[in-house]
Amino acid sequence: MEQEAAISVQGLRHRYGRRVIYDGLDLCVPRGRVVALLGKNGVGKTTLIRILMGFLRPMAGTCRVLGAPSHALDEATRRRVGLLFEGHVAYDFMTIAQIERFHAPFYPAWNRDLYYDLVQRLGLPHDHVIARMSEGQRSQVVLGLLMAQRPELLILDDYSMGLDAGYRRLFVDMMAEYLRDGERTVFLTSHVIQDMERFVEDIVFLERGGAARRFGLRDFLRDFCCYRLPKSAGRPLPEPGGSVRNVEEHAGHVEIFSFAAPDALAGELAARGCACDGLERLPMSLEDAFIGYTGRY
Amino acid sequence: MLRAVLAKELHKAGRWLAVLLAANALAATGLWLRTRTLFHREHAEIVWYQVMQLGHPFCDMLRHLPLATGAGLALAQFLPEMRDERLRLSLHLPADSSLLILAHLAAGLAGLAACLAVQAAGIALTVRAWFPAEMTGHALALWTPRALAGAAGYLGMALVLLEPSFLRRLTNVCIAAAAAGLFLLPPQGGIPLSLWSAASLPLLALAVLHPVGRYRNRKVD
Repeated sequence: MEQEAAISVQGLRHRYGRRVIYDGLDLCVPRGRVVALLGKNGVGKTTLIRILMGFLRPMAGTCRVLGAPSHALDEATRRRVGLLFEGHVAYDFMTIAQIERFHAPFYPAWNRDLYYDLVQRLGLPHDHVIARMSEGQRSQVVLGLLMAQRPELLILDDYSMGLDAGYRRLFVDMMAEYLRDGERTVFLTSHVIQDMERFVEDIVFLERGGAARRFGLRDFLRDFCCYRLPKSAGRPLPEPGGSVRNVEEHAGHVEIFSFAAPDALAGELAARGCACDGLERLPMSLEDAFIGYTGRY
Repeated sequence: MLRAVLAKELHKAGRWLAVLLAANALAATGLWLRTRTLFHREHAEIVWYQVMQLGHPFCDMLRHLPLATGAGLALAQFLPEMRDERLRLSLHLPADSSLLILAHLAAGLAGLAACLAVQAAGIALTVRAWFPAEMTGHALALWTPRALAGAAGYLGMALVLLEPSFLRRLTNVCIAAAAAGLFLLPPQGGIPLSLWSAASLPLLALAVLHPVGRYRNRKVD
């Protein structure tokens, strides 16, 4: 299993002062999959990404990237891993051409055509300085550099940060095209959930305290349901627990989030003393499902 | 790797290097003009007596310029690396991290050497114009500890800027100030202290690798 995993996290413990971020986190990202890390703010997504990128040393546990310890990646492993830092960080004092010439010598499999195919869509001259680009344009340069590197594993930290809808779509479409051969692994975070449906295969929910649960995206969207239940006087509201993952209260109804089928849920609620007259299943986007799973606050 | 790093550093700090070169050229010109004024105001014998017999340094106006040049060059080179933690881009490159950082330092020291060469040329030309030729070596020997203070200032500032922990950064400020100060102390007879102090420069360069390692292996953001 360890051989197959692009990322393997076992018993990871980390804390900031007294605040425990993870207390025995286990996570496995198989090779060839596109996996998104989801979770509410403050659950430790950025910390995990920083550990995986090798710029934060875990306090305990093992964290391996392509088989090597994440905090001590050797040169050969670093060559196989592409990193996108939050905010599309780049050496922005360079021009489009200069930054390509800087990175190229470090990667034997460098494909400059992939880089220039992408950046030429921006319609900018090659001597255009990156610092004078918009966030969206810079994201394309950074993506072009990552693609030219042709890494086996891409770790993308909030790739959508600062991008408008057009550039987000361009980024996602280029990424989906790049991943078409199915041999590359991507592990990513983003605050824009809805784009993920276009290219993500698995999602990992990270919860406060460091529990992680992985789902296939299609399975999750199929199995995780939102049910609408009208409020009525004297009827107790359902509480989370059992197969009820979360309950959101609205003015005239409650929304119940659960992996249970309608009949099973109705039976469970009835056993708890909640009548289920008018229970109906609502369609959900991935973003709806994310909020339903993690809660609004 | 070295060529790529040199090119990157030139793109990043090239403008500041040009500014520092111009400042050093201006200072060297100022030294020449000031010495000329001195010889217009005083008899040449008096000036020679003061400089060659009494040992009054005629190029004292350049005393702190190498140090300022070194520190300025390190700021131009490493502040952009620490902004948004861009240093991560270089540290993830598939190359030996220590060699990579030493290549950055080599690039900076090469730039500093260019600035110091301008100063040295200014001193040499001034001496040639107003003093006996034998005085050139003496003037450059007086100036050498200050040039070494520039190298210490450059390496010390790099040591400070690359350190991720605030408290250790303060410690590194003290180390850098002490290292640079050693070269600015007056000679105490016999072998100038600066010659012994010069041995500290390679150690200071190696010390810069330490905060980079700590940057990579820190346990807290």
